[in-house]
Amino acid sequence: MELTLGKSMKPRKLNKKNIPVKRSINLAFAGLKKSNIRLGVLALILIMLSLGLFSKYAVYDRLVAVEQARGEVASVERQIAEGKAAIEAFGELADRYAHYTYSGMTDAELSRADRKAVLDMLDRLVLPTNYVESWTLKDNKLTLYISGKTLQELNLVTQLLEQDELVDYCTVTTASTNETDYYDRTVEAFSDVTAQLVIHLRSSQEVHW
Amino acid sequence: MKVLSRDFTLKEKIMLLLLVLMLFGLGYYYFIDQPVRNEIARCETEKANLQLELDKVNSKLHTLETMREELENIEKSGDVSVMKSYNASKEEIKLLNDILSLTDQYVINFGNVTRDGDQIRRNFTLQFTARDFDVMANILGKLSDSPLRCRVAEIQCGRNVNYYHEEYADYSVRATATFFETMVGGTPDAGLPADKK
Repeated sequence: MELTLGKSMKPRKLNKKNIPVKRSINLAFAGLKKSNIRLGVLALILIMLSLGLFSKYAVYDRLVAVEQARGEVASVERQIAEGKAAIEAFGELADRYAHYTYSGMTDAELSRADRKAVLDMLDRLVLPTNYVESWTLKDNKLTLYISGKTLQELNLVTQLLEQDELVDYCTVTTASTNETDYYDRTVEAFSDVTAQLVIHLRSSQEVHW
Repeated sequence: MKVLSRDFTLKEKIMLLLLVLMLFGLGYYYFIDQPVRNEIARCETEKANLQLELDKVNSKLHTLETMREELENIEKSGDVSVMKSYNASKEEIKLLNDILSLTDQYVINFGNVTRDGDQIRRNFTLQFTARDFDVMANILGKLSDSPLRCRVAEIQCGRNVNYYHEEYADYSVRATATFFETMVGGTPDAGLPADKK
């Protein structure tokens, strides 16, 4: 009997798609998903990085801020202690100051011309050559009622006074010629000219500086 | 992760993750964040209070430095007169009597004591006759340079002429002056006026 190969018996052309491929089958791993190591490492790195950043900014820096705040407090406390020690070192200075200071005096009192120096100036420049009937010293104004032989003499005194460091400027407010009466002598009779000389004095601070 | 007989579902995992994060956050808040905030706030408050104290200390220090400089300047100027503590009237009268012993006759009139804070002023008027200009200048000079702080305000001086012996003319002097005292270390008494300030 001759076998005739029917159409269905014809050998089929090989197609790679139709060829079954053997795959390894290990039932022990059945149901387990394959792990992705790269993804795991990346995740680990990300987690570590996050923890590191968190530790740095949320924990370490905060603790540093606390230490810094405590340090600032300690620094101020130290400055206070040093300041108090420095105050202690001054001892009785405040008490001594209260007895020697001029801060309680008024400007008028402080700017008053040195009375002793003014008297010395009168003795040096006016009295040797002139007759001073009377004089008044009030604030920084010295008023002399003065007599001289001539107006030139008075002028000379004025010039001498204006050169003195105590004097700011001088003015002759009145001047008159006296008539001498030998038999009925008055104060003015000793001289020919009398004048009221007003001397404006510099304040003691101006002189000292 | 397989704690139970089955895997956690994605939803469960997310819930667990959120739970862990929440616990972590709470732990951080209560054990780190809050204590740190409280400590920093406490330090800032304490620092602010201390700063006020430091300002006071520095201010006092500055004042003392200024005082020291002023005292040094006073010593350099040579005008070192002391303001005695109130009431130094006895010492002042003794000083006046010593100074005026140079003259034959004198009159002292004490005015009212005035007070301006710690500054006490004892005003007085002085009248005396000096036999010559040198004696007058000596008296007024001693008054100005006295160890007790005294300032001569006004001087009126007239020459009493002896017409026949001009060289014997003496001087009549009227001066107003002030002794300065301080209330620092002073003892208030009935004569102490009220403070002007």
